[in-house]
Amino acid sequence: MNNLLNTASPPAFPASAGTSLPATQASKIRILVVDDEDSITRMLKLNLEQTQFFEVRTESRGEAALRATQEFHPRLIILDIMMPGLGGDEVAAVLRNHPLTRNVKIIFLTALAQPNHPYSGPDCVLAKPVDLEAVLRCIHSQLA
Amino acid sequence: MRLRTKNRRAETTSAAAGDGRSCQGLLAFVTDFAYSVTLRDDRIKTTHVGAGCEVVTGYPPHAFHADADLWNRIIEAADRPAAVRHIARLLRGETVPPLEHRIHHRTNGVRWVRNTAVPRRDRRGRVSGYDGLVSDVTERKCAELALCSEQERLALVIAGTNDGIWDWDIATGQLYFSPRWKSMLGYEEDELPGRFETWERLLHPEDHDRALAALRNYLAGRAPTYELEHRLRHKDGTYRWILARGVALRDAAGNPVRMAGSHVDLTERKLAEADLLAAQIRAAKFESIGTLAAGVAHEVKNPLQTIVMGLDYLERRLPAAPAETRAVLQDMRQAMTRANSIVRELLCFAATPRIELQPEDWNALVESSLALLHFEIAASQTALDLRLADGLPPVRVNRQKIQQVFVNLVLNALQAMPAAGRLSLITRLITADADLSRSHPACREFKPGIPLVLTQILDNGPGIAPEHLPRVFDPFFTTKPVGEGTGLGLAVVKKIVELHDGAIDIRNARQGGTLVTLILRAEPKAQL
Repeated sequence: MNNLLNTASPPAFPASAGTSLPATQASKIRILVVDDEDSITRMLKLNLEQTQFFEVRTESRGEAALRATQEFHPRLIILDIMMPGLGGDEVAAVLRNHPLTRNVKIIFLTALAQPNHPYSGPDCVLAKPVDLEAVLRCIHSQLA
Repeated sequence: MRLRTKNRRAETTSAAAGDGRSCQGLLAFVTDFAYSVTLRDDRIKTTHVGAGCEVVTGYPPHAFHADADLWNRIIEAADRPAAVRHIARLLRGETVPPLEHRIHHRTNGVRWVRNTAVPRRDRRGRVSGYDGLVSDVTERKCAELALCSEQERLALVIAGTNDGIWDWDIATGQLYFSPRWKSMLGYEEDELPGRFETWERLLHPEDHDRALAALRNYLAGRAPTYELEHRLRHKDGTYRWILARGVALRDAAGNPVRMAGSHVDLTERKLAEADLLAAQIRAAKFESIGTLAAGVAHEVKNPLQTIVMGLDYLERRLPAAPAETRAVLQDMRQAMTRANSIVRELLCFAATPRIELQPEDWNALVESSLALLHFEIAASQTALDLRLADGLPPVRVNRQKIQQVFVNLVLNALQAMPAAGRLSLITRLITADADLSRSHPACREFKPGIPLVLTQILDNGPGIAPEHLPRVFDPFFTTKPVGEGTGLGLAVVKKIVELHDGAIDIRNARQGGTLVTLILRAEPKAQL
């Protein structure tokens, strides 16, 4: 863990994620990454899976993200806001209103937000471009 | 007054001709009558009045005969003293000029009469009375008075108007200029020859042909009106914008013989219009840049996200990469960081945030801003010369935004100076006035008399090339080497200052270096 981040932070990764390193496939935290730019989802998947803590699935459309949530049962979704078709905010609204997906954590990753002007709402919002460390911190705070 | 008519003979003659009715008809048109006053012991004894008096006064001759004071009573009260003096002089035997005064006609209101009288002497040479002729001059008098008041009115208008007046005798080339016409151009009343050539000589060379053409077209009847905006040279050598209007008087053949009109000084209005236009262009430019910037920034952020994540991935995959590879990754990360800071500044510039203002201790804010740059100032071995005025009133500002202003300005200064430069920063309280507006055109919007906090930052670098000065606030204008500046620093500064209703000015200092003047409104005392 510490090797991965090369820093003292973020704090040790979620206790619930398992007690041994690396986590087994079954104990990995499932994260769904949704962005209409394939290079972004690809890079996030590579980086997150490299940590050995996460199992990542990617989607590039809001509608597909809703289906994937039902099939993949992610604990957390990293969600772009501006996408063709169903936007990230609309996807979030659908998930919030469904009893089975209500508790899925959401991190918005958007070019709309500015570092000093966070997108308003209860969810974590990350302004693009953001590095892996900041993403990991955010995931930790959401799952803690 | 009892009058004896001198018309008696005419009356008698007509009567003798046996045509009394036509005589009576004729009398109705008589507008004068003669009279004769006889004195005894210096008192009026008898008054004879001619028949024409009935037309002129409304009273028949016998009314005057029966009531010696009637004449005196029908004289308009305001004119009575003059009439009394007139009679007194006659009674002293003087030859007096005719007197014009008003009387109250019995039925026809106030009439003007001309009373011409001469003293009459007895055999011993003593004044025994006077004879006179009273003529109704109402029509002429009214015409005269009307004309007189017209002229008075015109003179008043010319004196009272802020317009310059001109009157041109086309045949002779004589051209009258009113004092205001001359003072508009800085000349005294006795300066400038009253010739057409004077105007022509003062014309701005660029307006000369156009102005003469406008005049010619109007005089030739090709243009229905003469209305011309043109520049005339002021005595101080500058040019004033003048709106000229005029009309020509033409002879029976339609040829212009005289032309007169006015001049209005439009200079201030023209300047204000130019300022407004420049502000509108600037606002439009900023708005379009803002829209563009927001769009571009958004589009750039996504690829940057890929690059960041790509770098993160590679760096973690290649922890033991050769130095060269690590250097490449390092360069890429720096390039990404730079691109990201441009995007951020662009968005900051493009956004029109409603900023929250708080009264702040200005000097403390200046010092806290400098503290943010402590490292940069120390690293460049810059000597700081702070002269902050005591007792400054608070200034309503947004703390973070103003700190950003100082950071940008001071960083610019540090980068402009060689190592171990000298940076002076002063603050003081000033009052807006005309001098300030003249020396700092950006301050024109401050109402004279309001308190302002002035802050000046002076470096001892090489200054700014004159050709660059007008562009320093333009977005993306930078003279720094590629990669060292986004070209948005001063554009953001200017925008923040404008959000505070303040003014900023950048110029080369006389003693060398760049001088930045920042002026913000101080809190009025009442709100302290």
